[in-house]
Amino acid sequence: MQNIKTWLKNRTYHHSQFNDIGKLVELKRQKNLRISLCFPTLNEEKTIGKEVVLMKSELMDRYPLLDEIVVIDSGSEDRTLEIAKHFGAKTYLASDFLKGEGNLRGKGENLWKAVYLLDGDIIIYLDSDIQNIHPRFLYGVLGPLLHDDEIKYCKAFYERPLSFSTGFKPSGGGRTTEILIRPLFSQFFPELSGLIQPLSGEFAGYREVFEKIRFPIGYGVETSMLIDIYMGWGLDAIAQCDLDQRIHRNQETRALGKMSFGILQTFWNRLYQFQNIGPIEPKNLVLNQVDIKDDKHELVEYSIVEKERRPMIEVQEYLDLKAKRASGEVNVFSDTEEGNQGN
Amino acid sequence: MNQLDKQKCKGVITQMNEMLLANLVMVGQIPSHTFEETQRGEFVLSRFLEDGLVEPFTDEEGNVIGIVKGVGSYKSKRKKILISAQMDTIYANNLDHNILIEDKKAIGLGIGDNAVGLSALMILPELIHRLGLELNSDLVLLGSVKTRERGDLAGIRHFIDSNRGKIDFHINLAGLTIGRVDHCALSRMRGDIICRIPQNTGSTWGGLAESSAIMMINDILDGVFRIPLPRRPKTILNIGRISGGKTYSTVSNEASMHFEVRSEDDNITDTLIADIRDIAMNIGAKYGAEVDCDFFSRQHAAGLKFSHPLVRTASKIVESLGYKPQMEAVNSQIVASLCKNIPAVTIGLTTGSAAKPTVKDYINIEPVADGLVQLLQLINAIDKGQCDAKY
Repeated sequence: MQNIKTWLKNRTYHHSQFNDIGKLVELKRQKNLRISLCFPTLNEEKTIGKEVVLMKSELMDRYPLLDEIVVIDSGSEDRTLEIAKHFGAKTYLASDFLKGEGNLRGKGENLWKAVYLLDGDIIIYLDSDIQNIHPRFLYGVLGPLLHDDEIKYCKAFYERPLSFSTGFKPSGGGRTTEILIRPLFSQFFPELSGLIQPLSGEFAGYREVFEKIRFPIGYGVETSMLIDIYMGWGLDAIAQCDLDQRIHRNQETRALGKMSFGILQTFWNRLYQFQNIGPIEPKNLVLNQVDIKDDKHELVEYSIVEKERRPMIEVQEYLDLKAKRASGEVNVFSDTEEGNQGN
Repeated sequence: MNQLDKQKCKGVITQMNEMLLANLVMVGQIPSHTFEETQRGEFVLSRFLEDGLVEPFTDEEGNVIGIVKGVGSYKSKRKKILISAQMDTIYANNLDHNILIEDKKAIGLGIGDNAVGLSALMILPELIHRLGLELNSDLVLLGSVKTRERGDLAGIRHFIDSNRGKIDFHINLAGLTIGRVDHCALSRMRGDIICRIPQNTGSTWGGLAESSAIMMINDILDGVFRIPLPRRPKTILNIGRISGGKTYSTVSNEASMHFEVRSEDDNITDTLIADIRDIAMNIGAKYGAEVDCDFFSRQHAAGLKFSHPLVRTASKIVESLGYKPQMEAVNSQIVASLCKNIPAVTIGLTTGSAAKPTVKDYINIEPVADGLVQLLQLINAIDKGQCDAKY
């Protein structure tokens, strides 16, 4: 317990500690780093425009903190890619790249391919549905990495008011964290239970870390990332930063059921890998939920198979690309045209 | 006319489009209901500081002020051009102020009135810098507070009062009225009348026969509507809101009406207000009930003639950008300047919609470039002495 308490004290930050963006730019220059921002998207036309425009204007044009802003899309059917490109982001359709690895779809797939497509030494991931976007979402998770070389990965936490049509209601979010993740962490990886929002979608880390870990393609990616970084680099390589408030869409409890179903599969894998418990192999990878249709109860089945991508460092195409980049070749990829073409 | 190169201006503005939109998002997402503008003011101040304005500060009222120094050699001869945009909105702080950016539209509460004006104000120093525009005049940038409702332009009034004799021209930025050049203000007064009948006994059968505050308001309205309003000078009495009562079966103890008088003539406004007060008091006496009359937000008729060089120049600029100039008398921030004999106009920056019951507030992004060209050309014309005249 002492270790968690010390970690909480030493590795928990507030975004206001890093709001001197000029200083962050100077640290970046001193350390000779390239910094990339990735937005994983699927049908986010309502929020992606302002996220891109704000980050580009504030953290590329006003302060040269970011070297690239990239949107990696899972196949949006709306104008997500068109809008993102209009406001100056590089846009890629995930399925157009690393075809030799097979085609999978999910947020984790986009995060994994970001390691391939982006060229930064540090990669920052921000969810693309943040309504109250502000530069603090980026410099809050980046700041600890630039200020302390021991920190390899930083995750966001925040108050979570839920957005309803009638306005906001105070916290009520984080249900999956409190009824699933924190109890599991407390039992099997207790040192990770000090993370306030292990499932938050805003985090930053070094390429040298991301390229060496596996990426579940679905709901389990945030949980697995924490466990793998903790086991590989130690608790002190992880930090968390308070971003004050993040307004997000409310998820129905049933949607959280699907999320938990995916997370559990990832978790069983880690239990076996790191704790030698198991292997625990679910007998069934179909989630059953009960619906009411025409006054009758009806069983609805969702097949949720949490596949995992191998560490990027094991992918030959990535190693070749890394070598190209190391030799100074830039602009390796061309943008996806409105989500229809890749290279 | 020594005009700026329109195409060059548009080119630079296009390059700065993302900066404009980023400012729009950041400032627009900070709730700023009248009297609660502190947080938005802090953001504007931080922008002024980052842009290297001369000693930006927040004054006693909460206005945020920054100065872009001119290059004119004699301080005393440098003109001071005030550029203002209000920081407060009509929207309560607990509402969803998040802004959506589409490729052609920006959508969100208060975006046209007046987050876009504030954004323009905040990018103006960088815009001037990128254009290499050397002005002899000082530009005084003002994010003003307490303009709406009970605020009654307290922010701009305070600024003008405390800078008496120091401001030579005033350009106020409005959001959605591109093409319009507001150059005069009507005489105006707002009023609240509240009727209270404390002795009512509630919903008993006997009590229902007692006097009702709603009936009192009704009688006052009857009397007010009988007041003849002159067609010339044009005068308008608007009953903006009435409210009162609690339930179906309870006699109302309290009811109120909220109204505004606007006229081209100060004397008519004064007479009308006196008549309304008399009517309310007479009805109160008749019912033996309490009547509170609160008249506020008094603004005097003031304005520039169309022939004033500032109005004429602004109008020509609007026309040169392809818009049909419209001249309106509107009670905006320029009232404070006009009343102190400072030549002032309000110009619009784009098109869109604000405060409509069925349409979300939005602005069209593309016309903002024209709005900014217009602003730059007007600043340049004032700086070059093309708007000088005796008031």
